[in-house]
Amino acid sequence: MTNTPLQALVTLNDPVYLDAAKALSQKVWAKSGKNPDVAIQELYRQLLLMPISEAKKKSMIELFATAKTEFDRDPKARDEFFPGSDASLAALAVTANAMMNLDEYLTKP
Amino acid sequence: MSLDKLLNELVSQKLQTQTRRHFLLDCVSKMGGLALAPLLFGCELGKNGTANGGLNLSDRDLNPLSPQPAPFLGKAKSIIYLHMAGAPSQLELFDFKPELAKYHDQDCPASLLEGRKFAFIRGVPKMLGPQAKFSQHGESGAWISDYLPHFSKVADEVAFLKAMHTDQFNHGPAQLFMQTGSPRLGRPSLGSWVTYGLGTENQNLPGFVVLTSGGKTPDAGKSIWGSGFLPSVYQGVQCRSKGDPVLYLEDPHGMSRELKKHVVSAINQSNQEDFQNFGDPEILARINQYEMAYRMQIEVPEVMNINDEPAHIHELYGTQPGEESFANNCLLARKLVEKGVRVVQLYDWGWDTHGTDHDGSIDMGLRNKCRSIDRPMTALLLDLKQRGLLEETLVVWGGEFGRTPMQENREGKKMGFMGRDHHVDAFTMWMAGGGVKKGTSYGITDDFGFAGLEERTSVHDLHATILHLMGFNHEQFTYQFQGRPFRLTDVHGELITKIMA
Amino acid sequence: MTEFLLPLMGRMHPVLVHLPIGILIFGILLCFFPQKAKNALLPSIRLAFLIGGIAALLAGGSGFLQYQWEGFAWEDVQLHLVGGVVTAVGSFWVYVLVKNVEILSVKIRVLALALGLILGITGHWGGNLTHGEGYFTEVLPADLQSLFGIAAQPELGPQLTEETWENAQLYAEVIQPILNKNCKSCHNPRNRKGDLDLSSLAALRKGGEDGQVFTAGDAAHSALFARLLLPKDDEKHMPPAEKNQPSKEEIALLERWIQSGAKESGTLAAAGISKNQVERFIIKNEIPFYPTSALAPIAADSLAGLKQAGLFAEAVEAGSGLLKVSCINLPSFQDSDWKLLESVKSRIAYLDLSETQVTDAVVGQLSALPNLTVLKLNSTGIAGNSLNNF
Repeated sequence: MTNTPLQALVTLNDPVYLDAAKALSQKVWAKSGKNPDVAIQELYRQLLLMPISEAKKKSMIELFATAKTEFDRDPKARDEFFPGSDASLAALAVTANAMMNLDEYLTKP
Repeated sequence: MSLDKLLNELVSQKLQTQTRRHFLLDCVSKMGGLALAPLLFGCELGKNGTANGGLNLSDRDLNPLSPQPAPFLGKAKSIIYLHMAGAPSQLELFDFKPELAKYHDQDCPASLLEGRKFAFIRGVPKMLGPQAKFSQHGESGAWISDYLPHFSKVADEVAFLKAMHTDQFNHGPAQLFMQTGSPRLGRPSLGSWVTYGLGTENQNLPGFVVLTSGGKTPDAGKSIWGSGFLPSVYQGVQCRSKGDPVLYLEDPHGMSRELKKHVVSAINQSNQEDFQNFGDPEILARINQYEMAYRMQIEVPEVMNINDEPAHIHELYGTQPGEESFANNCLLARKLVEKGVRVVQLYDWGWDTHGTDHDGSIDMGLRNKCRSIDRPMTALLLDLKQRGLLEETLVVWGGEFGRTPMQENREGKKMGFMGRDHHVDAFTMWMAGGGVKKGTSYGITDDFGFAGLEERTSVHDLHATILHLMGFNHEQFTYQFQGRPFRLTDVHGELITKIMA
Repeated sequence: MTEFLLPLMGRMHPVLVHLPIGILIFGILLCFFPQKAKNALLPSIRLAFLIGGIAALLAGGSGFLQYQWEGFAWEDVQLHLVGGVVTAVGSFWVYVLVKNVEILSVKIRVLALALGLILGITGHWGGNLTHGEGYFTEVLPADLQSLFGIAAQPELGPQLTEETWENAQLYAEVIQPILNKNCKSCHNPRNRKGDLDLSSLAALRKGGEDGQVFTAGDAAHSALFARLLLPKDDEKHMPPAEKNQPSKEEIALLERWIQSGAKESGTLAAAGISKNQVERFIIKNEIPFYPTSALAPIAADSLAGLKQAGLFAEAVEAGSGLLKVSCINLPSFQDSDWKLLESVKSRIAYLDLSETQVTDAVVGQLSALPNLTVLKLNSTGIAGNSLNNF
């Protein structure tokens, strides 16, 4: 796996990666009973096949909260980002997008 | 039965969650880790890094691209390297050999062929006289052919290296040799060394940018701007010269800059935790690349956009916004250097003039190719000069080897067009700008332009000189790898003091 | 058959000298040993000075033989020899004095001390002969050395000039300085390792214990050149692996000199030496690009402070106190931000304010930068005419 800013831009911004993140979060969101805490753990387990560490969980939950506040405040942006979603789901997609950029996800074994 | 299944499931789940890094971590923490630790963490964690726990990181560890002062005062602070991939013919551009004309179409003397191998020439080839008209230019009286009418006007700005020689006669290895100091894969490129040594000034742009033109990337692939055994953060970042310079620079719709900042910082926080645990410097590189990516999103579109340049600049370079061309790349190179990028490497493909077709002919294809670089590279020098950048920017031009004074005769047959084979014993390169003595010529070749007679310059000599001009002693600029210090110039390299100002 | 005995005895000198030194010091110490019963040690003291005297004679004799066989110069050994004789005579004198008394007098003690002093000085001179004058001081830190005023003038090697290098004498101005720089410390008239002196052409021609060190016109068979090329771990490699090694250029010039006949006179041009080969010995009166400055390198936290503010700041070269400052990452820099630079005013040698918001107001400040060498003001609000008075 390359390790350049160009790679970062692709996995952060390429619509393919974003669509994957959205689809995954939709699936997980439903499964988690709309509980962000559970959803984040499940997202990580689905992506990495191992449980998330406490510290990572904490930063991901923070990210989720920030994103949710922002989408709550600006529904237009939410619609642009993830049409047909609510603020929580959009925020979870943002979190999934971040998780798919973690070093352990990109450089697995 | 169901208990078996459950146990199997448990085991397989545990195995799946185990990665190489976990194994290494377990080695250290559980199995006599003390003895193993120095082996496992011998992989250069960073100058002050220790294996575990007390990570003590310098500025450089946290941001590997942070600028560093050169060991001594370098005349140049950035490089623009124009590599003509495929190897242009020195005999049609700079190395004027009137004697060779007299032998045109005669059999090549046996003394030149004895004990030599060529890439395609077989048997006894015919000599091929210069196909260009030469005249002297400038006060320095440099011989430059009519293939480069614009460039001849700046003859007094450059120093020619006329007796360059290499030891690789195929493109891939020769390009690797020219760019990394070794014909085999695995060494860091010149640009990586310089970026490693000096860091970069502009935090919003990569330190080492690569631009290609001519329709193809060089034969040796991306390893010629790779970082080899240096941390990958020092590798060249290739920007597209057509369409978007870099893909996906724009944030997804609906994601604000502010939110993106949080995304990147969440990613980096998590990665930081892994770095604390595993100490793999690649994770550190990853963290930096994400920060760089975030900052690049603003700066790159601006610097890579040539549309807003004034008309006289477009006129000067002959640029057509939107197309992939050497001219556009030259203008971009100037903009990047102006913005504090350390190394800009341009590759222009299409100089392999064997005489197999019209485009590969010495008299027609080469002339067209020259037309495409003549104005832009001249403009680059003039533009750098008028901005006061030339004195601190080193411009290097050249191919990976030269071309034979003989007409190529692939498979022993006469070719349809005039062409020259790959040649390692003599070719011309030029340097200009920071620390280079203007209007000089170094090296003399024989009457056929077959081999250097005096002041021969090896690829290592060239590298030693480039590093010197950047403020490094090539013998002391090393990187510890696999138990020994490595140098760009290996154990070779003499400074070419004659072309230094 | 037995002619080897004398030189062998001579070479035993450095071993034998330790006998009188040890025995006499022992005797002198006994003189000052607190004694309960009066002078119970007198017999031992007598014995010590007697044997010490005999040992001094032995050492002196072997020393004389060494002087005879090992090619030391009289001027150098003179004092040491006299010292040795005085020591031997002094020992016997003290012995005689001690022999005739029952109580150790103050006079004898003083004499014994004086003998010890002479012994020490003689021994030190001897040590200088074997190990070289600077044996102790060499290892002192440079500033301590200069305190003693004994810092040796470093040998600089060849010093040529741009105008006259062609007419410089190859031997006198190039080869001898190379030898002085790389070889002389062990091969000089005082210290002739391998019985070889490389400090003058006459001595060079004499050769060393293995005979001639060069054959004019045949560098490959000249030890003076060939031994420099041996691998460093070879026993015969010169200079010894732990010493400074001559440069490639220096070795090449030595080779050229031997090849061209190892002549005493003759210019570089006559020997066919090109400028390339001596380039590094040509003294260049280069005007440094930045002013020379005595400023110490900037403290890491002050530098970090500048970077924190968004400025690009770095020493112009490693170890320099001068700074290169650029606002490349801080396009919002404006006149009022000048205060960021106040603390490093005297250090700024390179200042790039391109594409910032600065105006004419800043021009006055610029002239207050004592070391400013490069200034870039592209695309700023500064009008050309405000620079007229600059």
